Amino acid sequence: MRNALFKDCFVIIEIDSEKKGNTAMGLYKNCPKPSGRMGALWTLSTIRNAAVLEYGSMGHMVYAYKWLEQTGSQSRSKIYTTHIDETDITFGKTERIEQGIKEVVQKENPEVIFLLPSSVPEMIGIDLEAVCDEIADKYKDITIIPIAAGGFGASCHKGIEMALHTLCKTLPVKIEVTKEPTYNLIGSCSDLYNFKADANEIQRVLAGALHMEPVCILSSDTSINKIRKMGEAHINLVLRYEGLKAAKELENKFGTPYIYQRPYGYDGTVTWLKEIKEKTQGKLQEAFISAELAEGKKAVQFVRQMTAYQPERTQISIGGHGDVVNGILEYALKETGMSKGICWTNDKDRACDQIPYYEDIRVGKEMNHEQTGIIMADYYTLKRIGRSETLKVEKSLNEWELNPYVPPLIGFRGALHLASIWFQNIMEE
Amino acid sequence: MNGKKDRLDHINRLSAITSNKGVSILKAAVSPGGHCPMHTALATVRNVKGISTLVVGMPECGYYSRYVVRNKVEEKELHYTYVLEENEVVFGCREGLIKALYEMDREGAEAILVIMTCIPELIGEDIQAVVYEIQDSLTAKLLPLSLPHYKHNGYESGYTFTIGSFINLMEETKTNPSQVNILGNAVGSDMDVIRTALKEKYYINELSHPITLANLKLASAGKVNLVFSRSAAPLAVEMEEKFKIPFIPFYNRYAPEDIDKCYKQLADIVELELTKKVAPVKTAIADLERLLGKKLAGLKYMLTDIGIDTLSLADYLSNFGLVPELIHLEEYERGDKVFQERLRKQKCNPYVCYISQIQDLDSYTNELEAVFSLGALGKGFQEKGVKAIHMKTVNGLTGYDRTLTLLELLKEAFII
Repeated sequence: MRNALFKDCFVIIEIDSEKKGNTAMGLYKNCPKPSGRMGALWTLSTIRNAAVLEYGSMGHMVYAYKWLEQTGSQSRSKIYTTHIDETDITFGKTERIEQGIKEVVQKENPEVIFLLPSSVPEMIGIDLEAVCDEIADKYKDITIIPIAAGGFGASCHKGIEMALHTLCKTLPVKIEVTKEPTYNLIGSCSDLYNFKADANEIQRVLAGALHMEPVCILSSDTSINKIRKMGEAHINLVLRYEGLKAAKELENKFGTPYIYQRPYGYDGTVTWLKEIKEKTQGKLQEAFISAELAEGKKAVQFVRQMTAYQPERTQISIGGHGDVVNGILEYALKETGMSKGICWTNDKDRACDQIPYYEDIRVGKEMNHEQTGIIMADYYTLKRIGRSETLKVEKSLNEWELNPYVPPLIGFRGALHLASIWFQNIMEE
Repeated sequence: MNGKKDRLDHINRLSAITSNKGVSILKAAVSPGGHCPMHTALATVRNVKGISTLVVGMPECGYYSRYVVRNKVEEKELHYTYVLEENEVVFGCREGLIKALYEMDREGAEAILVIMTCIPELIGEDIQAVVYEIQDSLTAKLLPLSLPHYKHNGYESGYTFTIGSFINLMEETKTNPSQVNILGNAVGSDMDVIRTALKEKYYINELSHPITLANLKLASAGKVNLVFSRSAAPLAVEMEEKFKIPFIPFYNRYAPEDIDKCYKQLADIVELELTKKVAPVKTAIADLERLLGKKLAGLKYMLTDIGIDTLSLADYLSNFGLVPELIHLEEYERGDKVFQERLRKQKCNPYVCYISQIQDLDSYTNELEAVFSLGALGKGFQEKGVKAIHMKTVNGLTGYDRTLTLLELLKEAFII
């Protein structure tokens, strides 16, 4: 018998009591998780002066194109796909790749071509690295980079990690650091909800608090030239764990230090700024910081008051990317006095005791109409339980984020925005 | 070797095509490309009450297919995906797939369209064997579809195969002499005449968008199938084989003599003489054919429209001397052979390819000679003075109405 409670959930099916141990592992009743290949493609598709050529069945790229349109990202690679047929598969032919690269070069003349396999070439073991080596000589002025995306079991997060690491390993060149302190932002990627607004806020805060400008925003707003120059930055700011490997690569190559933190909350952002200041010998602009703190004081106070009078309403449940969940939770608990509800991550690799990984069936069970307090999740979970869309923290399929000027969740203005929506929702509940 | 041959020798001419494998994609790299048949398979059934879907494949297939279908709380139909785990890519997903189908059956699915995409097909997952094994123990009717994109260029087979699979929802039954099935749809004066006349004597069972399960189940009782869509033609062929229901292929008839045959066949089967009502325009058609034959004979053109049956149209146009230089073909099907042979008899041997984006054609402005196209053109050819004649007013019509509209379009385009 169907259980309508789970209709709109991600589900891995429960076993029937009469059929213990008989679970169909791969059945999804709503939307499955994206693959490593998809994560890599999304990461690379926002790099200007580059082209992405996917080798495989043609049908993926038109969807990826739509997905990118939905992110509202203005910074774009030229994205292309080949097709593949039975003859290519049977004989392991790769002429389409060579011809495809020739056509892309003729039409776009990119500085770099990223070559990705889709699932069929991966399945039949096409050696893209060898193919790239063979044809590299024909294109002396163009760098052709094969991208591995982790194989069939790789999660979207793994694909993003591999793409970021490959970028930092292959492209940055030896260069003098800038005279004035600068930074790279690693891990601003289009798969994260609100990525544009968050990246904008970081730039605003660093310009105001430390007079620092970015060299490279990797990868949501950058170009091949900027990636090549990443070595000139004084520090790398890693926004998500998937960027750590890339940051370590740059540290090995250029000695660039890095900080791994998503700056949520007022105290959180100030701590982050202080750490940056220490590592770059910068000078904190106290007037700017004081003004930002003053602006948010009232909103935070209001939330604090509610935690005293209405504790059941000020419990926060949140699910999504592990770094997002951790960051927002820390702000909520330490700075506003809210209490922890049910929290989960969408990434198995980031699970821990405090923030476990929930299969979507668990999300469906836990996040229901009876759950009290603030719930922050993806659009479909919020819609299903009748909660406000303003509490989104995770991207969903079929969402259009065309406006980069929406409030951030990160930084000082993010702290103000979070406090205000929490307070509003607490009052409405 | 001349330059023209070099640049286009990756594309076959009509004479070299014996199957869909001979129809190449025009460019090796396309942006952003075209949909795969999984997309159109889902699009065909997404609003069909009673048909649930299960997409079997990789995360890409599962995730992106949710752009086309998604579960809605207010609807009974289930739209699920089965994503192969790593070990299943190696060892197969049969066990998991069977459990998933049982689960959907328990949840009340009436019919399940099981769409096997690239990877399960590549690893040889035998969905027909699965259906054979478990169908009797399920209430839900399984409709298996093999739709790996690497076996096709575009998405047309998604429509065709899905509609073709509906044969599995039909059971042998007594013919209802008062029932006529309409497969696909058309509009315009011919269609109005056909519908009006049929309604007086017959029950019209509509097998066109939106199709319903009830209509499909009734279809095997029909006296005749009137086919107005290329996508529905294979289903009509199967229904003739299985249930002995004759079909009349209005969808790919342009020449008046071929349309005559359709109406005669209709008259013989349903005992309704319609020719007098539709035939007055035949005189106008004949006049236009003579005029266009005089003015346009020998002119080369390209057929790039995706909404029409291109080989049958090219065959018709060759009757008054128009020479196809290049034809876009979605899928080469059984029914295309007769038109291919007719064109060859007329010594027409155009390039035949699949065009993903019309701008791709601009790379060949030096290689292709044409005065006009039926269908869109990119800037490159337009700047060369090649006229693009859009087929919007023609597509969707049928019979003499369609042919007349097409000829009037040509006349107007060349200001004759």
